[in-house]
Order: sequence, then C-alpha cells, then structure tokens
Amino acid sequence: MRKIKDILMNLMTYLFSSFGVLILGTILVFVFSNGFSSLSWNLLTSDYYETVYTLKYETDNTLGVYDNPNLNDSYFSSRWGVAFQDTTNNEGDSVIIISYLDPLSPLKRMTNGATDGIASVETNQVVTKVILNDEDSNLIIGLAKNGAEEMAQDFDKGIVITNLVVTTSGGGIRGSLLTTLYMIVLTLLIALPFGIGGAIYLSEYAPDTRSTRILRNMIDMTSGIPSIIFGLVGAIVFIPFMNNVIGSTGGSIASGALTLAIMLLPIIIKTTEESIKTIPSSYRSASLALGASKTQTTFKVILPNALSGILTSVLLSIGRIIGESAALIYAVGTAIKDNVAIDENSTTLAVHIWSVMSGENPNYELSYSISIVILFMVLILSILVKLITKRFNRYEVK
Amino acid sequence: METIFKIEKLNLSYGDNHVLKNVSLAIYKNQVTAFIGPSGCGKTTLLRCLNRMNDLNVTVKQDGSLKYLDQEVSSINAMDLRTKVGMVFQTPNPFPMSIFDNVAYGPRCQGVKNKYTLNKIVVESLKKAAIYDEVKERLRDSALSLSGGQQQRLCIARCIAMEPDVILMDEPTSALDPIATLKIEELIGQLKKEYSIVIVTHNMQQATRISDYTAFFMLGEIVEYDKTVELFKNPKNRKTEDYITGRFG
Repeated sequence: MRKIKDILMNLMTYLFSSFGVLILGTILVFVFSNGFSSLSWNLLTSDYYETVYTLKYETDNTLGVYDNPNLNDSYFSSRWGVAFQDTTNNEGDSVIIISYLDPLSPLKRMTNGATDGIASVETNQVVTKVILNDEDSNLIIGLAKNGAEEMAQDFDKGIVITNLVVTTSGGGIRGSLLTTLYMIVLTLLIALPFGIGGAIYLSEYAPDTRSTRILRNMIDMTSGIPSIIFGLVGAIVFIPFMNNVIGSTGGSIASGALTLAIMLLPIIIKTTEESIKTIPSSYRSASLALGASKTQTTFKVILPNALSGILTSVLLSIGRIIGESAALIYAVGTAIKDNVAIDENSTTLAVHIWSVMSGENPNYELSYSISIVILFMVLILSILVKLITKRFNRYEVK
Repeated sequence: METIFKIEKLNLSYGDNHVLKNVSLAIYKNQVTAFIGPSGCGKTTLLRCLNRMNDLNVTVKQDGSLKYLDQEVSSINAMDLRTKVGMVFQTPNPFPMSIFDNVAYGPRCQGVKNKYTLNKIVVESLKKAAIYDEVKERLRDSALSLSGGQQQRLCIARCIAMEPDVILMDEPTSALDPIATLKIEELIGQLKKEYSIVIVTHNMQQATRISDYTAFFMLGEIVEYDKTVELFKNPKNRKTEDYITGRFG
C-alpha cells in the first residue's frame, strides 16, 4: 500500500516538474524562433526614427567606370560606383539599401538639397527614390518598389542626379536599450541606499514595538501593490516633483526611476533583512566583545556578510526594472526616443514592445527580437552579479 | 594578591527568572579562576557580567556591586571595558575573513591603521596564542579553513591583540577534541603569566588541571569558593563534595 502511494507521489512530482520545464522551454523556443530572424547588430545600434536626406549631383566630370565588387544579391551601377541590394528593414518591409560604395564614387560628393552643403550617401542607407537626367536631358525616375536591379539600371542611364532620396534605416532600439540601462543604474542608485538602510534599521536597531510591527506589515503589503498603481502615483507625484527639481517637462527617466525605486524598496528591504537574519549572532557578539561599537559591527561584520542577500535583491530589482511596463507608461510615457536624456521621456525595452504592439499594425517580429535582447540582458546581469557575489564570498568555506 | 574583580551581593534576573543570587567573589590578578557547576547555575551569566555582554539583553535587571580595579563596571564605557576584558566563546567564532583580518579586527576598530603596527600586533598575538607556526604561511587564507582547535586559538589570538588585562573563557574547549583541548589548556598555562583568566568549564578534571581558584555554583548561588587544590581535596560543603565526586543528583 505504501509502495503504491510512494510511486503515485513520485509520478506526480515528475509530471508536474516536467510540465513546468516543458512550458518554459516552449516559450523560449517560440520567442527565439520568431525573433531571431530580425535580430541583428543593426537593430541594436540603429535609431528608431528614419532621417531623410534629399541630395543632388550636377557635374559630370568624374563619371567613369568603376570596378564591380561582385557582391552576392547586389546590382552594380558602374557609372556611379554604387551597388544596390533588396532587403527588409527592422520593421519587416522590403527596401533597397546601398550595399557598396566605391571610395571615389561621385555619390560621396553630393549637395544636400536642404542645406546646400556637401553631403555623402553611406552604405546601408535606404534608397527610396531617384530622379536623373540622361545625355539628352530626358527624365529618368527610379522608384524603390521596382527593385534593386532596375534601380542600378536607372542609375547607369543618367549623368546628372537632380533628386536622390535616401533614409537611414530606422526601427532600431538603440535609444530604448540606453534608456533601460539608465533606468537600471538610476533606480538602483536611489533605491539601494534607502533599502539597505531600512533593512539595517529594522533588523539591528528597531525595537520590537507595535509601531515597528505595523511598519513591517506595511512593507509586506507594499510589495503586493500592482505596479500600475505605482505608475499613477508616479504620474501624480513624481512627474511634478521632478519638473520642479530638475526642470523637466512631463515624464522623464528621472521620474520613472523614482517611481520604480519606491516600487522596489519593499523587495530590497525584505531580501536584505532576511539575509541579515541568517548571519550567526556569534559574529555579532564576537565583534562587540572585541570592543567594537555597534556601528562598526554593523558595517564591518554584518553588512559584508549580508552582501550575497543584497546582491540577490539587486538581481531581483534589475529583473523588475527591465520587465516593468505598466508603471513606466504612466510615470514616463510611451514615446520612443533616439536621443536619451535623464530629464526627458523615452521608453525602456519593455515599453518599446508595448509601443510597437499598440499601434495599428502590431509588429510581432520586432517584439520577439526585443524579447530576446531582454532575456540576454537579464542573463548577462545575473552572471555579473553571481561573479561579484563569488568575489566577495571568497572567505566562505563551502 | 591583587584583586582585579570584586563582586559584592550581585543579583541578576532575566525578566522573572532570578539567575544570580547574592553572589560575592573576588577574582585575583594573574590567576586562573574556574567557575564550575551544573547547567543553568548562572556561571556563564556571571562571566558575561564581567565584560557587560549581558547589556545586549534588554530584559536583564542587575543590582549589587561589581568592581573592576576599584571602578564600578556599570560606570565604565562598555566598549572601553571590553578592550580591557576580552572574551573567548564556547564555539570558535572567527569572522569569515582572512586570518590576518580576524586578528587585526579589534585594533582596526580602535583606529590603528599603520600597516607595520598592525602586522606587528598580528604576528605577536598569533605567537602568544601558539598558532603562529601553523598559519604563518597562509595569513591571507580564510579563517574558516582552519580546524576547530586552530579556530579557537585564533579567537584567543584575536582577543590578545586587544592587549586586555583579563581574558574570559566560556567553556572554550567544549566543542573541541581531546588533543585540541590539551593545546588550549597548555596555552592557558602560558597566558596566565601575563593575563588574568576566568574560565567556565563543565569538565572538573580541566578545572583541577589549569585553575588556581575554583568557584562552585548551584542554582545561582556560590556554594564554595577556594583554592582549587583545597576545594577538590577538602571540600567544606556537602554539595560540593557530591558534585565533584559525581554523586550529585
């Protein structure tokens, strides 16, 4: 009878745990298989917004015959020394990009239509439209929808470019990536001193009275409040506060960091307090018996030994900061920015996903790619924290 | 003989629990004084009174007189007192730091920063605690990598580094094997030339081996206090005799 019960129990344990692993694995495989195709270095480093340049080239002195680099899938215009390639941009639309530019190409010495200055096209820029004149002053109009091959042929026909529209490839997440890093650093800078200080007070100094018990319970309850409520508090309290303090207008990274810091305080206090509790009281009495003051004991013995707990709380906090969207939508805003500044609004990666998914055509592939970036960020930061913990715990004997 | 601690009619209670009752006792300089008695008789509590470690317990109430070198202990700053009256605990409790940092901890807390001074203090303390030869090659290693007996001698070295007058030992060998115990006992014999030692022990053979004076405690009272030789050879009180002969029940 007992044997059957044991087998049943074991079976259930295996079943449920394998089910959990399976679901986790499926999610990972799903995200990776969908997001990997559009994940590229270009995505990480390029701006979200396209910049349009209108350029022209009027003299025909240096037009000549340039050597074809014979790139795969590229079509070369030997008269202008430029190759075009059909590809898709970060948002999944098909575009023509400049895949090669001869060092002597006249396209490097063009005139910017807007500023009349010298301007150059760059490789990887997107060509949307070109208007050329041939020897007999006939107009040739090349459009992106006709493909790279025809674009190259159009270029070869003309001797004067009256209008060339190129754009930098957009849809990148460089700004959001930077914002996320800013947000992590700033939030931890605010939250850690208060959190650790609070934990030290609660575990070392606070008397066990009614008021401290209420305080403890309130900290526990705060960790259960939905983050969107913190977002509302951030919008109502911290945005005006930051507007007054650092002169920002509307939501900013600073107001978001302040909101997140308040949200993370209970986690940091709880984890740190728990790890302080596990420190043997014999360390405390040994230190005091050596004539050390209570403050010295706290900072020389208690805190260094609580470090692994503190770093765990840092890790949990980083996870929350990277993953938080609801609070930041209110406390910062949802406008994606390329130029990131602490006193301006911009989006973290999670809010970036929210932004690209909440438009008229949700962009699933980009979202999955950003998800992969987020996963890797968490992974790298966890490894970093583990390494730091190991470095500081070198005197522990396992 | 010079008296280092003079205790008169000391009463102490934790909440409602009356632990020490009218204890009067004189502890002499450069002697080893042993406290023996059954568990819960208050000997450790009395020991912890001597360097005010009982202050950490908020429920403690104390009256009577306890003088260290003619100065009331309660009027001395606890931190200053503890630099003069060091303590070694029941279980070895080195900090999870290097051996060097463990011994240097006390002096550093007092503001000693000079590397050469610290180095000198650490080496001398380790030598006095008879552990220097075993650890001189690995002062930067973790103190937790030492064996139990070595850890306890390191704790004694850590205590000596403060240059105290008195070393209080709370059953320092109860967690150690016989060989490590023997080493600690030899060490105590050497240390009493420079320090006054008060030791709590459950082991009566140990008390006879190392101590000059012995106090026998029962239920928070001192039953008998005399020279160790006298107390064990000619106990004046019946209870003492029962206890040291093992007939105590």
